[in-house]
Amino acid sequence: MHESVLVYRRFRYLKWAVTLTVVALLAYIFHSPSEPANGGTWLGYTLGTIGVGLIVWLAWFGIRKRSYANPESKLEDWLSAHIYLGLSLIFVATLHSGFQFGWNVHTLAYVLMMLVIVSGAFGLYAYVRYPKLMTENRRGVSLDAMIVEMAEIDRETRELAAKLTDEIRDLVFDAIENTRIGGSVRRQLESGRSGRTVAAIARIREIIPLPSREQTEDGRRLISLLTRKNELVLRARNDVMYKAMMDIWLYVHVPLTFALLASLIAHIIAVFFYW
Amino acid sequence: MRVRVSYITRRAKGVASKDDDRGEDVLRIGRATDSEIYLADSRVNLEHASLTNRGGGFFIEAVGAANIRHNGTPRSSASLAVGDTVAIGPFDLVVVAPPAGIDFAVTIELVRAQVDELEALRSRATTTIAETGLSKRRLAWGLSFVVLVLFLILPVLGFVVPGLNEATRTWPVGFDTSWDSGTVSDSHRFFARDCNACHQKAFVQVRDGACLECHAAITGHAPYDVKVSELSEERCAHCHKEHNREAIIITAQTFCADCHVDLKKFNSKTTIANVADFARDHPEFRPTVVKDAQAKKFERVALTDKTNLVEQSNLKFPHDKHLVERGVRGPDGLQKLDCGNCHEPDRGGIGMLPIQMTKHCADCHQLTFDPKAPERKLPHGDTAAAVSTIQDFYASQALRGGYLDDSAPASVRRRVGQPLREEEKKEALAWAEAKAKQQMEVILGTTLCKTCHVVDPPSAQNPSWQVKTPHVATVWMPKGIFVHAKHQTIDCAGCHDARKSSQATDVLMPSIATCRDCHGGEDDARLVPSPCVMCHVFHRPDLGPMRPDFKKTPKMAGVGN
Repeated sequence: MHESVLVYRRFRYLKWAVTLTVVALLAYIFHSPSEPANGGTWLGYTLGTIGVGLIVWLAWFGIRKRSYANPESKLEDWLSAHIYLGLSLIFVATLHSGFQFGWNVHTLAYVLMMLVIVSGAFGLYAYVRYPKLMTENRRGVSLDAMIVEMAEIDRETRELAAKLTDEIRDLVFDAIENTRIGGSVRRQLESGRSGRTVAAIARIREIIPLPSREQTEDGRRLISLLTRKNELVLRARNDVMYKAMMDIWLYVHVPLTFALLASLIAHIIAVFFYW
Repeated sequence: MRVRVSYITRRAKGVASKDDDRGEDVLRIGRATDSEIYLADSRVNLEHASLTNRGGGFFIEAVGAANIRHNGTPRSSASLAVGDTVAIGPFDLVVVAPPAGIDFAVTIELVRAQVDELEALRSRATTTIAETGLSKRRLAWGLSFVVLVLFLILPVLGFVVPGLNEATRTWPVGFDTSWDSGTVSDSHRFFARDCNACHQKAFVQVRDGACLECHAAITGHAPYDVKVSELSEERCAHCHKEHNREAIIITAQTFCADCHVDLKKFNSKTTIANVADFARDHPEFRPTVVKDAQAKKFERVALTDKTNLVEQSNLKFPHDKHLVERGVRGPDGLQKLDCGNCHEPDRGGIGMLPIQMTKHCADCHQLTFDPKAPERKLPHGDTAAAVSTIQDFYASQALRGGYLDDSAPASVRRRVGQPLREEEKKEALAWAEAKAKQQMEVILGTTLCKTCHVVDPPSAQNPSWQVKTPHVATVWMPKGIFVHAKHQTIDCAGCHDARKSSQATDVLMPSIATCRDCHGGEDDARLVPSPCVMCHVFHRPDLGPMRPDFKKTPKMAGVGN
């Protein structure tokens, strides 16, 4: 589906975006104002108007995508146009600026726009890359099913660990009680095995064999259970990470779009307020 | 000693209690099956604690580092009294009043049931970003609010509230600093922080008044009688765009060429030739030529118009004779002259200082007029004075005597100081007058003055000698600026072909082709790129103010010009 968005209607919107970019570039190259290129020449105003029109239209996608009942246009249509025309904005806005940057609201709007575009590009990357990785990682098991299995292993390991030494029991209980799937935003974006479980396994390996055969058997079973648990932890965390990667860019893309719209309002009013 | 341990189990139907009376002084508490008080839960250590009778009372003691809590406080040992609660793993051990025949009694109850592993794991898991409490909506509105306050509301407030912007001008960052769209020109930087010096009215483009408060004297581009709306109606800022650093001065050629490519469209009566580009489309130079020096009549004549290109300066000067290779005869013998002997640059390096006869010519061209009195010289620049000098000289010679000249009568040739009779005096003065007149024919009419000047002899209309007022063109190109100093690496003769000029009527102004040897059009890649403003200015210094009706506000009187 994701690639189909990019090649949608044989790259119709890529062609539109390239046309817009090339026209803007040619106009900029052949435009020779009596002042340095800036947003205030006729070409500057033209590119600025196109730019703000594009930004508002692209932001409208956020509203459009929520109305699923609209049969007029397909969402793929909008998304494909959103991606390509959004990228062409890099050229339109940069040429509008005439490469004049400074510590001001005008450059702020530009920087916010670029961050929105970069986050959007990451979003596209995430949607192309992570669903595949997610499917491979899950191997048909949902995250909830993994958690249920982990809980089952926890129960079994608690029973087994209680039969062994207090030290082993403490290590295993500690590992169980401190194993977290996901967590803060940062933790969700990272993955990895449970360090405490790894430590518990290592410690049990050290003290094996235990005085009685039965205990040694229990220890071995404990190791295999904990190892299985840790594989599940890794896969669950990977699953959370892939999902977080596919989500996190929107937490940049959407708020910065709003900040961009606010700074655009300030930019346009400022320009004409102090005309 | 009798100790009763009551194991309490709560069920839906009620509370069950199982008593275990013990007689030992030390009761071991633990998960180990041989413990006196056996607590079957994985959270209890094999040997967790002991309940000990020490004569006077009962104590609870933890084994090793096992965790017990006495009335909620972690302790390693504690003495026990009725009502005390000791937490051992998930169990609570409560000391109760012993019934008859029992010395010490405790109840033990599992109060912290085993956790549900699945619930526990789920409660610890936060698997989506939305669950972390991060909110796109809150971030979006928060950021937008901050942006709008800092970059819109505060700047507008500073402008709208009287005195607020002024009050913040001393702050490192003003309310409206963020609106600054680019560096202002160096000359305006001293007030650049005060946006409202120029931006005086909201949503109104900067008005001329703001500029003219300092630049009231800026001169116009065309005389007042030429009415061109492009000149009278455009704002200063139409051409002078600030916030582009030094680009506030337009140098682009199109700015001039837009009108000058076809000037008749704007002023049908103009005599100014059209021009579009120095290299491709610029008329031949039309230097100012003196047409009548006496009447101060000048004319702009194109270099191509050879018949009219005649400077009527009332002077005679052959450049070629003065610049001969072997030199000219001077008071100290042969002297080789070059241009710099007479043409000295002015201090600004633009033009040349005027030629002065006394300074530049008089060394060779001495105004002696009588070989018998080589020390006597005529005054220069005053014909009447020169005439009376000649007359006075011969009169005084006649009266003094001793003037040994064949034409002179004896009275004049007499011994110096010998007195004259009345008739002799008359005769001598008559000779003097005749001699002076004859000498003037020579001095003024043939040799001395006429070497360089146009001289009119006395006539019926004008009875006295007239040396015609000379005048040479001081500025050939009044609307163009040529800076000699910038061209000083070039030999004078590279442009001015003076060695071949034998007449003062020659105009030694070089043709535009000479300039084009080095100067190309605005965008020339190989020659000196030469836009209009390299030689021309928009605000012509020879005209009056651009905006003559402007009156400064009293506050700004004395500022600028």
